[in-house]
Amino acid sequence: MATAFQELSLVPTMSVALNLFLPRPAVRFAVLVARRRLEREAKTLLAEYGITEIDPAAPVADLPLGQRQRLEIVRAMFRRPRLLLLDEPTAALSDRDWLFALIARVLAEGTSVLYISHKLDEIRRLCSRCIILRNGSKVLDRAVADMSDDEIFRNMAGRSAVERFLATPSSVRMEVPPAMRAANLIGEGVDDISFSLQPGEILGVAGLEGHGQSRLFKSLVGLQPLRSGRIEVSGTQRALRSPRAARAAGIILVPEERKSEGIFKDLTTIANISLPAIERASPGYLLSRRRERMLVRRVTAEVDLPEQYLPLGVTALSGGNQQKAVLGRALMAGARCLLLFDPTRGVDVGAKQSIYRVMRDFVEGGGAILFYSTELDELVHLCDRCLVLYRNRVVGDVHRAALTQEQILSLAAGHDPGATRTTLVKA
Amino acid sequence: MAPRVTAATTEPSSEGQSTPPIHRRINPELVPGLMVLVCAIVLIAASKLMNPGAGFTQELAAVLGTSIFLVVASFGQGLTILLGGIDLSIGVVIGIAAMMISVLTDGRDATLPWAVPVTLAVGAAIGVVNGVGIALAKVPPFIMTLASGITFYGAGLGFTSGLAQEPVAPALERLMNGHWFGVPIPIFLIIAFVIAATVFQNGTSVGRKLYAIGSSPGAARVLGLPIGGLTVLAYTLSGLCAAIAGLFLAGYSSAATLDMGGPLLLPTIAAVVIGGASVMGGRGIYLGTFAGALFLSALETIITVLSLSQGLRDIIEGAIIVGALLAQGERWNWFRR
Repeated sequence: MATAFQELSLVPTMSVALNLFLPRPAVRFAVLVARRRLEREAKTLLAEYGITEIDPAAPVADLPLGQRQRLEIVRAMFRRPRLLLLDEPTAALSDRDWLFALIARVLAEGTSVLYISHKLDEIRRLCSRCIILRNGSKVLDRAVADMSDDEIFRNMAGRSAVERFLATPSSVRMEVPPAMRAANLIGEGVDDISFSLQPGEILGVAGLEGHGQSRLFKSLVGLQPLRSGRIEVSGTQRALRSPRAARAAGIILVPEERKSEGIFKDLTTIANISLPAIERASPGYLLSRRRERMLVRRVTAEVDLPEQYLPLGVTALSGGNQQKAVLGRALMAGARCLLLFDPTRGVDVGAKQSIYRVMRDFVEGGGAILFYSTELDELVHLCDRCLVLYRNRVVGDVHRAALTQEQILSLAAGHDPGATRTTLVKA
Repeated sequence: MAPRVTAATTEPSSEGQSTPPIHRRINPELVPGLMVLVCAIVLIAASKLMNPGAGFTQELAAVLGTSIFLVVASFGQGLTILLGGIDLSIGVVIGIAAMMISVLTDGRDATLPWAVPVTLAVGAAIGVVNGVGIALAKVPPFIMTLASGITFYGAGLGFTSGLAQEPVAPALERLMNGHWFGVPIPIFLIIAFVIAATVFQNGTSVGRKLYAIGSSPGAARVLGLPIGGLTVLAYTLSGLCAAIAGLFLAGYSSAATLDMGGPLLLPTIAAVVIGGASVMGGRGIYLGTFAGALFLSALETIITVLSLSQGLRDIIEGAIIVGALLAQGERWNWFRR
C-alpha cells in the first residue's frame, strides 16, 4: 500500500532524488547512499512518469507546490502498490490529465485506488464506486453511475440544494479610480505585467503552475522585490516594499501555503483572527479579551466561522475553517483590496460556498479582489475579468461574457488564443 | 486534520461541549507549570524532613529568596525561546552586571542612583547587540549569543582581572538580605516581578505578537508584523533581566566575580523548558517558567543540604532538561487531547 497525501509528506531540505526513495534508499557499499546513481535513477524514473522539468538534485523546498505534488504522487506510484491511496491529489495540480492517465495505467496493472477528492467531475471520471463521508461517518456507498450530481452534493453537504455558485450581477464601479493599478511590473519571475483593478471587481488570474502567478502575488505585497514598474492604489502611487506597507495601503495577501504562511499554528483561532487589530483591542498596551472578542465576532459572522471554534487552537480546525479564519483576519486588517491565492485549495464544499459568498460580499461593499485559482470553473463563475499568464507574462485578458474553461486553458498553454479572444488591455 | 469529502461542520463534535472532562477545564498551558510546582513543593517538604530543625515556611522562604536570580533571568531566556531562539550570553551578562555595580558603587550608597541605571543599560545594550545580529544579520541565535557572550567576557576580563576589589553598596545588600514584616524582601520583589512579567507576556499586544512570530515566522512575514524590531526587543529584555539578576546576585553575595553568572545559564534554559515552553518557539507561559525556576531552586537547596558535589548537581540538571523535552513530546500532548 502507498499513499500520496494532501498535506505533502516530502522532506523540504532533501533533494528530489532522496525524497523519491525516501524510506529505503538503495544502499550499496556500507551505508553510504550513492548520490550520483540515485539522481540518475530518479531522473529515469521521473521521465517514465512524464516529468522532465524537475531536477533530481534540487532540494524539494525550491520546487513550486504543483511539482511537489507530482513528486508525491510519483513516489506513491512507482512502488507498484496493491492499494494506492490518493488524498486530494489534484489540490495543487493544474495538469489533471497527467494524473488521470497515470491512474488508468496503474488500474490496468491491477492496483486498487482509493481516491479522496471533493471535486465531483474527478469522481465521475475516475471512480466506479463512491463513498461519501460526513462528520466522520459513512453516509453513502454506491456506484457512481447511479448517483446524480445533486444527490452527491446533498449527501456531502447535508443540505437540500447546494447553490453551486452565486450568480449575482457584477458590482464593478467604473466611475472611481482603480483600487489597484500595476504598470509594467518587472522582477524575478514577473515579466512586464500590467493590470488595473476597479473597486467592486473580482479580477481572476489563471495560469498553469509555475507561470509567474505566485511571484506576481508576492511582488504586489513586497514579499519579493520588483526591479521596475509602478503600483497605484486608489489613484496615488505607492511603494509597497513590505507586507506592512501593503497592509497600510489596504492590500492584504491570503497566501498559498496556509500551513506555514497563513495560520499561526500555536495560537487559538481568536488570536489568529484578531492579530492585525490587536492594538485596537488593547488600549494602553493592555490586552482586553472582551474587546478582542467583540472585534472578532464582527468578522466571524461575515466568514461563517462558528463561534464555538474561537477558543480552540487553530490547528484543531478543518482546512476550510482555517481558511475562513485567515480570510477573517484579512477583513480584520481593514483590507480594501484582497489578493487571494488559491483560497479554496484543500477546502471542503461547505467552506467553499462560504468563501465564494465572502468574496461577493466584499466586492459588493466596494472592495476589490485579485483572485488566482487552480480550479478553472471558479474563475469562470466568479470573475468579472480574468488575466491569463503564460511564461510570467499576461497573454490574455478575458471578459466575463467570453470566459470559458477551454479558452483559459488554451491561452494558459500558450496556444494561439483564436477568434474568441478579446483585446489585450494596455494599462 | 486534513479536510476530506465532508461538510464544514465536521471536527470538534458537539457532544464534547456539554461537560468536558476535568483535564480539559484546566488551561493546557498551565498543566506543565502546575505539575512542576507540585514537584517543587514535594522537594521543599522533603528537604524539611532531611533538615528537621527548620519549619516548612522558613524552608519555603529560603528557597524563594534564593530563587530570585533564576526567576528574573529565566524570564528573559523565556522571551528568546518564545521566538524560537536562545540567549547563551545570560551568564556573562549577570557576571558583568555584578562586577559593574560593585566597581561603580565602591561601597557607597550615594552612587546607586546613577550606577544602577548605567549597569542595567549595559546589560540591555549587550541584548541589543545580540538582537541586531540575529534580526538584521540573520546570525543563528545560539551562535550570536554565544559569540557575543565570549567577547564581552573577554572585554570584562581585560578591564578587571575578573574579581571585583570593591565592596558592593550596602543598600543593595540590605535589599537582598533584609526583611519586611518578617518576610524576606526578595519575596516581595519576586511577586512584583512575576505579575509584571505575566502581564507583559500574556496581557499586552506586544506579548501576543511575540507568540505569533515564534509560532509561524512565515505567516508573521506575510502579515507584516515587525519581526526585526520585536526580536531586538526580546533580546534586549533578556539582557536587561540578566543585568537585574546580576545586581541582585552582587547584593546577595556581597562580593562580585566575573564568572558568578555562569552556573545560572543552564538553569535558565531548564526552567523555561520544564515550565512547558516549546523550544521551537510560540508556546509556553511565564508562570510555567516561574514554577520551573522554583523547582530548580528547591533542588539546589536539597543538593546543598545533602552536600552533594557540583558534578552531580550538573548531571541532575542536564537529565532534567532532557527528561522535560522528552515529556513535552508525549505527556503534555496527552493532556491537550
